[in-house]
Amino acid sequence: MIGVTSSLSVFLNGALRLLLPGEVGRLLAFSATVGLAAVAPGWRALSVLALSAALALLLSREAFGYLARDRSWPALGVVAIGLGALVGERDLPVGPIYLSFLGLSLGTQMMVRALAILLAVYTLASSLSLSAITSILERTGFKGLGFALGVAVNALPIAQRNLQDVLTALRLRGGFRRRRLRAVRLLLVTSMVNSIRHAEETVAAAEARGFGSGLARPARLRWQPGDLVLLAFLLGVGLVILAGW
Amino acid sequence: MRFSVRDLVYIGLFGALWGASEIGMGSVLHVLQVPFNGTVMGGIGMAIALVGRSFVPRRGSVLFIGLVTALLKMFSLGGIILNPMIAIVVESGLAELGLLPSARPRRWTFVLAGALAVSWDFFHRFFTQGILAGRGILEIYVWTIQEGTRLLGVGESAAVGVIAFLLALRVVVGVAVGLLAWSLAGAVRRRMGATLDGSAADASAL
Repeated sequence: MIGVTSSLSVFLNGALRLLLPGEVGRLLAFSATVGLAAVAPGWRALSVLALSAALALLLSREAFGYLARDRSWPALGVVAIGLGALVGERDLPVGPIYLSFLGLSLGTQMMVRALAILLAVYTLASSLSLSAITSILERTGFKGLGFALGVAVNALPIAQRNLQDVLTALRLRGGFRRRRLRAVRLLLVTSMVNSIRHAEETVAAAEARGFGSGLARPARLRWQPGDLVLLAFLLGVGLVILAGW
Repeated sequence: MRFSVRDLVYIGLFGALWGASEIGMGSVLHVLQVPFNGTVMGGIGMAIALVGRSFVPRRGSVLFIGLVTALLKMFSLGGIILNPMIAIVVESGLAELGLLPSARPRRWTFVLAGALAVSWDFFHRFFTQGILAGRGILEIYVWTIQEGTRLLGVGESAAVGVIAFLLALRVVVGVAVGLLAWSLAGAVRRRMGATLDGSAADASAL
């Protein structure tokens, strides 16, 4: 009995994993959501937002956290809804003031559309691996981007340490008491020179190991069964939203 | 765009330097509520990227540096923050446009690249909000300017004047950034024993 239950559980887990969209599916989800947000008129933007939220729940719940931390959409909300409510004929009494019902509606629709697009972008960015993103970009003409990014990831802490060391050395020598602009220039030049010297060591090591932008091929994006299921779902939902049902 | 291993390492390096400045200075400027912090950050980053161009004097190198920085920012501490990533990539693209007229680094192309790149800070908010919210948001901004000038009792030309001043400020900062980058590149090369005409972005001069 225990054996049957555990086998069933393994089978179900495997089936679910097979049906989860892969990287192609994530790109499709993003394209469909942004496309629908761009063309869906009026309050149908709410359906697009619901689709975007459902995809975020399926593909990457971190997207909600990134959306919450993004400071741009609250400011956009103030402009779209707040100011929009003042544009046009003010026929909606709200306490002592009159707002424009049409402006308020249009502003809210704009805000809903913006949230749908932002959520789709954050879902894509947080659900794709770095290697998938760089391989997509490499296939569109940015050959060697993955290698350069790897160098940057390694060089970042060294660059930060260089900057800190040079800053400390300058301060100890009284560098910022007088002629501060000259001190800042010296800081920048010295940090860059130190970093470039490190870069030369990296070049020698890479060339000794036969690295070259023409040798490595970017990883292929492959279709998975889950991508086809998602595609069918997106086509269906897209038709429903555009037909206005 | 095809780069050698040396070019890609330098691109990665300058991407890391730009990323380090974004991570370090970005949070400081935000906490201190420095006005025009987008212009300041864009200026610093563009200065670094243009110095990088003098070491990788090939078309597309500044755009590559910008892409590396944006991806680095995406996967570093603080996570994915869309606005600065878009700004970095667009500024790099505009800088490439400014550098197009000459195959080799020249002072005037650095100045043009700096001016184009830093002036993006003025348009950035309208562009991203227009993409997100649609054309209607721009109509709201136009209406706001018109109502504002009416309430203040000034002509619309005053509003146009203020807008032109804000844009000109960024262009001037961009010109200064281009000149600074040219000067820094020369200083770095002199320290490393090379010349600035792009003839020695290789080990033989170092």
